[in-house]
Amino acid sequence: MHIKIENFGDILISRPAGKEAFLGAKAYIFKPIQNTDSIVLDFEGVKVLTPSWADEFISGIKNSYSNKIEFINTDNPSVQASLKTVLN
Amino acid sequence: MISEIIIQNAIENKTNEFKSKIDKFSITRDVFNARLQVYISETSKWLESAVIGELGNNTFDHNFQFLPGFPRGVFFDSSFQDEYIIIADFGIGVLGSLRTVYPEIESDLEAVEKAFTQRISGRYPEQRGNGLKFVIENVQNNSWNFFFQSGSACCNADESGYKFSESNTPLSGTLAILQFL
Repeated sequence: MHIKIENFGDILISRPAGKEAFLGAKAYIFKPIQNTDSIVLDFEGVKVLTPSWADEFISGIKNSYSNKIEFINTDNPSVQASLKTVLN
Repeated sequence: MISEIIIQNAIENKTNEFKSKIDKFSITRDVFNARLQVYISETSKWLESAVIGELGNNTFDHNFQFLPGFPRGVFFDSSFQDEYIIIADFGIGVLGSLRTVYPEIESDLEAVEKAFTQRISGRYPEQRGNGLKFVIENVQNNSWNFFFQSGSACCNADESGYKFSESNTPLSGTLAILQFL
């Protein structure tokens, strides 16, 4: 399952916004997911990502689904740094 | 390191409640994030903006009341002395936040050291507490300069690392100074 993070905005800063994004995705995007599907988080077009937003979104996925998560198009420096903080 | 002259100037401004720049207080998170979006659109500084966002949003994550008689919300000045970023508030400070769940913490210095070096949060059991480590790590990695004070505890950081110290002039709430080089 391919998720374009940019659909939630290109400036992703606050923890409440990250939580709301996950809850929205859970209700409308992840519904049909199969256990064997990978979840591909595509950060193309994201300009600013904070660890708070990323933590709420990624932790939400990890706590609700056991699917493998992949991260692509992570060249933006704030995306790289935030993912490093959250995933370590 | 942020120079002592700049630090003292910022402390003096905070002690005077930033009265000459009172319009730079954001009373709510929405106002702060909107102002940060303006900064982002003007500068295209993506990583720097993430660091500012973490610091500024901390005010609203950890403060639901502010010192009576003082400005509410977060102060955000992106052009202090032309080249510095100031983020400050009159909230409960780091010790006030962490003591709600870690009453054994005895001092501002202990609280600030833990906040910057451990995954610890006043909002435990929520799994939080990465924000300040993200700040300090990126300050070092990008050769920026950073000063932070809450109560009597200070943290200075630059590309060479970070160190903690105690000030003779305690500050209520928090004060952060950033210099992006």
